[in-house]
Amino acid sequence: MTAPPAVRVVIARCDGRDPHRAGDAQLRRLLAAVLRCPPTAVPLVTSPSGRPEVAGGAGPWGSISHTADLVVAAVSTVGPIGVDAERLDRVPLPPARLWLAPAERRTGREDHGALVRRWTAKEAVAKALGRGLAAPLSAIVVTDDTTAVAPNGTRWTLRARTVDDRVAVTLAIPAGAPPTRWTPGSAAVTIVDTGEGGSG
Amino acid sequence: MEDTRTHVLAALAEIAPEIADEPVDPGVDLLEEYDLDSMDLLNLVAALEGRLGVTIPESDYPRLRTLTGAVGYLDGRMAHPTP
Repeated sequence: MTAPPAVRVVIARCDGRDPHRAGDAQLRRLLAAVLRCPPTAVPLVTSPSGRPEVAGGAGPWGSISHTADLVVAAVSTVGPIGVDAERLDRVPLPPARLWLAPAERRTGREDHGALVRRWTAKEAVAKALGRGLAAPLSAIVVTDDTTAVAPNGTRWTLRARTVDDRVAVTLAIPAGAPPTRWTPGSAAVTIVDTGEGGSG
Repeated sequence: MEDTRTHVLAALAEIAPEIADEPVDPGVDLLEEYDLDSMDLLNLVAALEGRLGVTIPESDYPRLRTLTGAVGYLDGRMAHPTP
């Protein structure tokens, strides 16, 4: 039997389902493929910070995000993972002082879409760190389109996609992780490499 | 304090206008009840900071999850502001 990819993302439409339930179902299916068990047998628990985790904490690792009518689920067998999705036209964005690092505020004016992408990158790292609501977004520094540095000094690889021309999705995985397999979980979901997330 | 509660409800209504039309259970998890995400939360923080003249450190954001928790936290914050 072929082993599933080490890092995999599925993006699907909610199609009227509750997005939380839809995300949970997608994540269970991905984890079940890794654990070689039925989706209902995946020992999924919620951490105190609200992150879905496989009981025991030794992996595989998963993350979920949803926005508009899309749900995104990601799994990794190589370490903690975080994924975040956001509509590119979402307004208002919070004031820069609450989520951009001082160095990022000095880099000049970004257009709205670039700011949304930066937001998803930071959120993805925060989710991977498992800090929940207390995640220090302003202390997570996106150094370039493919790398972020967390407050604890760990470096994270970012992989970004645009879905249906209107939603930004960014994945944060440990630096050096193997390529990611991105899969539409529903018909007519268009996933485009933004060219900012590197290969995979 | 009642004033703080009024400000919290007004700030919430800026983020989720549907909240203005219904009573808010003081103990309910606001993020779950109104499906607010982390971007909504930061916009709420900005609204509260602007209305009440306080700063809210990131480590304290979880204390804003319920109306009762937020009012108690913010009252304390205003009584003992951190430089």
